[in-house]
Amino acid sequence: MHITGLTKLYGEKRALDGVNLTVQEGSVFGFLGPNGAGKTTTLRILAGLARPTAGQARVLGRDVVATTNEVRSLIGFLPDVPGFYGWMTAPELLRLAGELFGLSGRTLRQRIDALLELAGLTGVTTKISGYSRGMRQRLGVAQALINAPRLLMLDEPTSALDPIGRREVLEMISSLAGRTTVFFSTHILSDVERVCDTAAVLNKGRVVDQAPIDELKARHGSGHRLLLEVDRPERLRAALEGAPWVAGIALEGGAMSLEVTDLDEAFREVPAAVAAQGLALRRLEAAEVSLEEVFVDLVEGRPA
Amino acid sequence: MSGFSAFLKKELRETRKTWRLWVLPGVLVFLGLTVPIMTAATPAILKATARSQPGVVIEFPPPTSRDAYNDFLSNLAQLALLAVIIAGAAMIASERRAGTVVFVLTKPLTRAGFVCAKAVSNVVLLLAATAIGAVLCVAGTAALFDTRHIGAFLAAVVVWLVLAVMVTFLMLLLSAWFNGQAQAAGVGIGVYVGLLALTGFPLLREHSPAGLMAANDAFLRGRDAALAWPLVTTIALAALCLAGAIWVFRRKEL
Repeated sequence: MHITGLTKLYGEKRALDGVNLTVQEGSVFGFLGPNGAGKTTTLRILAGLARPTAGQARVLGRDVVATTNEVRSLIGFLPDVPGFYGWMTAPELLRLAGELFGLSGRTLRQRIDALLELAGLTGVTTKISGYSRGMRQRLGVAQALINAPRLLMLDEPTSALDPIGRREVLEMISSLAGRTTVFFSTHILSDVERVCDTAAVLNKGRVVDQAPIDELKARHGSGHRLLLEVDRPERLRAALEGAPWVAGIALEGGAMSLEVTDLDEAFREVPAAVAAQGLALRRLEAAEVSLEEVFVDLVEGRPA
Repeated sequence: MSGFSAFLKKELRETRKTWRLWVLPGVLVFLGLTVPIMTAATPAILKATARSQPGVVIEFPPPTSRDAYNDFLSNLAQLALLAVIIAGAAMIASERRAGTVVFVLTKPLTRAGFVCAKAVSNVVLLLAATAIGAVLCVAGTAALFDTRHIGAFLAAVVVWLVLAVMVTFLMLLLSAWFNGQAQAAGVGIGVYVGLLALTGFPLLREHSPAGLMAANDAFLRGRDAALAWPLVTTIALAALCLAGAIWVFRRKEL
């Protein structure tokens, strides 16, 4: 998927402001952003539900505006609030979805059975109007897979679910890794850390960065951080303040969090300072930067 | 199976499985069953009313099969047409509100296909419901009165169907245009009232769909109803409304 300069105006409001994005085939791509960042607008344009004001979006080599139907036959889409015909059962809905893609006969029957199994809805005979939110969402992922899509686009698939429903949907998404490209918008960072290999952060209609998740963490983790515990942290703080490799010191309970510009130098200097002060070193470890920190850095515009 | 035929199949199944089956068909079956009986019973009802009020004498000519057919056709032009408007207002608006329009239109179904499937399924429902209502009315009238005027009655029903198809396509356009079902229904009723008002102006009546609303009596009395212009304008308007619905819906952001 290649998006270049994608812009969408609603009157005076600029929902998308020149979005540039590339998603490699086969990846599970997290499309992150705070509420109102433009994630849903981007997905609606990609799905052919809205038109861009400017810019271009190509999916699997095809322009999504010029060849809407051709693109739709290759993708699966789950909107943020999926709407289904409440008078149908899950097999009936999957049959309709398959028939809309031109599927029929044995192929369609086999796919329906496999997807009901994947969604945990085999043997459920109640009408969709009686489904829980989690069941609807799982059915939503299943219907999006009926055409064995090369690209699966999911808009906030877990945002309204309880922890068990979330786990079930994330497990479904994880099980697709390597089989299809998944483009998945969310503001739940732990979901992205759990299932995605690559992510982009969208803020105020612009992509502020995109990269494999480890690379994002390395780029935007506010430098390096050490966690340490000593018997008298105030004394150590006084000794370390002003050192050229120290960017910040925070005390939380008995623990000290040290932001450093050079991790190797910090690992040499901290034990030396502890020994020089006659303190007991109980813990010293590099803290892993979380995606949350990356997200906050990017969205709040802190320097990397 | 193409996206259009798959969606049309869904539409026809939905008609059988949901409230849609009961609105227009319910009205037409009710009219078909009750109008001949009510027409036959009206003199007796009026006499009974008059007896309870001393001094009041009501002379009522014996009802005929023409009266029964006329009553049925009058109800078609009023009650049934309002049912077409109310039910039609939901055609696209309800799918948009429920989010099901996103479910089907993110698959290889074009927006024109979506609108056309809605048009076909609603016309099929209209034809079937009208046929059943008319057959019931003919059967009841033949049983209670006589078998005269059946040909003229069926011709008048066909003329009403042309008008009802135009109103269906108008509602399709309004349902595509407005986001709310109530707005579409409100404008539809406004157009209906406007058509009724046009029947009071001979020149406009003779050159617009309003002419079809006023044609029943002339049909049943075997008079020349001068329907050429009203039919031409109604069919042209129906085609315009359908094309307009496709045009509007293609431009809608969902």
